[in-house]
Amino acid sequence: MWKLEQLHIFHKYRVEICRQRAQCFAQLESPCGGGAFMYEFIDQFFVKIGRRILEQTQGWDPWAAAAVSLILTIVPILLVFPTIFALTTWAERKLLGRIQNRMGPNRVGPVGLFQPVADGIKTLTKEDIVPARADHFVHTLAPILTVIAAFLALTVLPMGRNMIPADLHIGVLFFFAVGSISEVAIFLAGWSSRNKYSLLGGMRAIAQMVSYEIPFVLSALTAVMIVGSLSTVKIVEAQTLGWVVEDPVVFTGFGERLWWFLERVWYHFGNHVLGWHVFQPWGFFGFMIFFIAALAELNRSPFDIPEAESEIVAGHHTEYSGFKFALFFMAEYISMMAICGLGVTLFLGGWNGPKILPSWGWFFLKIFVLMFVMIWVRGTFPRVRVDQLMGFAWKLLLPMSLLNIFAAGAWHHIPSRPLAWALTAVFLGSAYQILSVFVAGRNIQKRMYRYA
Amino acid sequence: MPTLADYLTLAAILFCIGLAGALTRRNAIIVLVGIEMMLNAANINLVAFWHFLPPATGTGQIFALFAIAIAGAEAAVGLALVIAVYRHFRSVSVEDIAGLKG
Amino acid sequence: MKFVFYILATWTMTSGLLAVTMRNMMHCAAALIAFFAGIAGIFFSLHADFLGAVQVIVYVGAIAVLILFAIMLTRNLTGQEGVSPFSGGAAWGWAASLAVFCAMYYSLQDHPRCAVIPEASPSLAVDEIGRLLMTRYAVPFEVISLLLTAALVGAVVLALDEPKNKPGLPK
Repeated sequence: MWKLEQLHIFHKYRVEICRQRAQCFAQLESPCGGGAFMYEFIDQFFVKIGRRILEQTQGWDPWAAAAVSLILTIVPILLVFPTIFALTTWAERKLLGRIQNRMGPNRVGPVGLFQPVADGIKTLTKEDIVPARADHFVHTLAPILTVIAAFLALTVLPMGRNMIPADLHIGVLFFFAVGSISEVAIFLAGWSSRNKYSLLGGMRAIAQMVSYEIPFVLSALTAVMIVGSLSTVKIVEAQTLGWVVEDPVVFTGFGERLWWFLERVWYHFGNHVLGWHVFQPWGFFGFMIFFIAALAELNRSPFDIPEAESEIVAGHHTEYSGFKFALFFMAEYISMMAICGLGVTLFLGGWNGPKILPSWGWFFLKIFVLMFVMIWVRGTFPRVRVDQLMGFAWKLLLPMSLLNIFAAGAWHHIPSRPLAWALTAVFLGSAYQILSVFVAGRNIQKRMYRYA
Repeated sequence: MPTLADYLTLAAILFCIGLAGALTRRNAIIVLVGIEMMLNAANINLVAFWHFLPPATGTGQIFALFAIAIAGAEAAVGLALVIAVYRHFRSVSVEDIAGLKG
Repeated sequence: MKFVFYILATWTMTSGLLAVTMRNMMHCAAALIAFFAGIAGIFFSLHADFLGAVQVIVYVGAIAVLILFAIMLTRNLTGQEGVSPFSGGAAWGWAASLAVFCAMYYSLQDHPRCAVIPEASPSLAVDEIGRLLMTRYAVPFEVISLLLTAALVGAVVLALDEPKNKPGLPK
């Protein structure tokens, strides 16, 4: 008799152990639980350092404490992003070189890695030439304004769990507001140079940016609609699925253990990847529209009409040299990072990702992937004509983004997820087919490729 | 803390600057600019009333939002008119556009 | 807070005055952009964040750009040489605006509700604004959207090229 009782107690004990272990694993949300504490440490490393420093300021003068917290916000941005900017210029030249079958920079440092340093020294020591008839004040103001706008746009991007410079409740709106400042700055640069190429470039830039602003904002609107918030932090947090694993009470044998492990991995993947907005029909089309419009907003190839070298020298920065040119150059790349960051935040899950990388690692990895695609596009596509540019924006992107908003609304109101997925996918896909025939014409010839 | 009177005075000053611009300049575009400035000054009033006078139900902000939308429409139509007038008379000076027949 | 208010007030008044008095139209436009940004700052200081962002997007991003375009298309940056940018009866205009200011300032003085300082600064969440627009202010909202559509069509029609067979006034 006692044997049975003992067995019973033993069984209960085993069940309890299993449940505790399962709970522990569930809390850590990681298939390989042992590293979870380490993960937490690495993930929150910078956040904790920041908090530690802020704790030291308790009891200080409030102005001094505010100054310390400001410095803690600003200095990392001013350190990290210009560094990435320098590396990006090198990577872009290297990649474009490889795409065009040449070496790219390879003289300064290992594989040309110190090229940005050399470039920086060159631009800083060059003469700052202002054309004699230029408007000196505006000519100086324009590059400063573009740099300020580019850095301000970074402040609302959540760069990791609990890592955001300024969590505004109107974050997305703030981003677009700041973006409109850089438009005006580019126009002022083009006008103040007193050069026909600059003026043409400025006019082209502003016409293009105003046209593409509409699909740009409307595509971002879908994510805002679905999440129901303009705060970037909330948008990122909404991009996880709340899947919960039912843990088995008792593990019997290796097979079940393996099954449990695989299930856990799949659920983990689902929770942190499948929830990204880009995996839903409206999110996919929204992201595509967003990315294309972003290329145009950044004046990047194939939409680099405002600075088309073969037509108008260098567009709005024809008359800029030395440090001011460097400022323009930096603003361009910083806003490229910022816009990629917004795309990642709105559609690609922000810092969400399987926990093999820390959250900030995922954010920057995704940004790098998007920037790589931008460089790839630059190396691949020829420049479009102005009429193609405008026709594309107004005839394809604008109606698509409006239909996409409709699809997002339908997604919100259809209760069954698979049904909503199928319906919106069919709707958007057929809309795209019809519109593209309307824009490109009926007889699209099959392209012939000839290998050199 | 600045009081409601401070904001209202500021709005009044800005309104009068805009009014002066609309009344005194030759260029039709600057006249439009003056009108935009007057609308902005009025918006300051609306938001200040919302901020200082309870209950803050949001009416002031929504009214200002509508005013911004109307100002946008007005600017678009006004500037299109200025461009049409310029095409016709080759001038944007309000003193040259005095003839009704054309 | 008072400090911020004085900075914003000086900023908007200076840029506003410059916008209506400078000779070069492009400088006027630049000053106007500064003025719009200052107004957005005033909205932020009044805790109307959403309105401040909308102000920047609509005024700096759209209306200022429209004005810049209009200035470029009319090609009349500094006016005729030797002719004042102000119209003939400008003195009357200044006097009128001064009179309007005096009247407004007089009516503001000693008003009992002007000295009220609210205990807690109010705030209006963005979703609350959206809800109000869709419920209590739904009709004005629809009317505004109609108005904007009408303005869009009207502006396009006005700015379209005139037919070639109807030449403008000989200058």
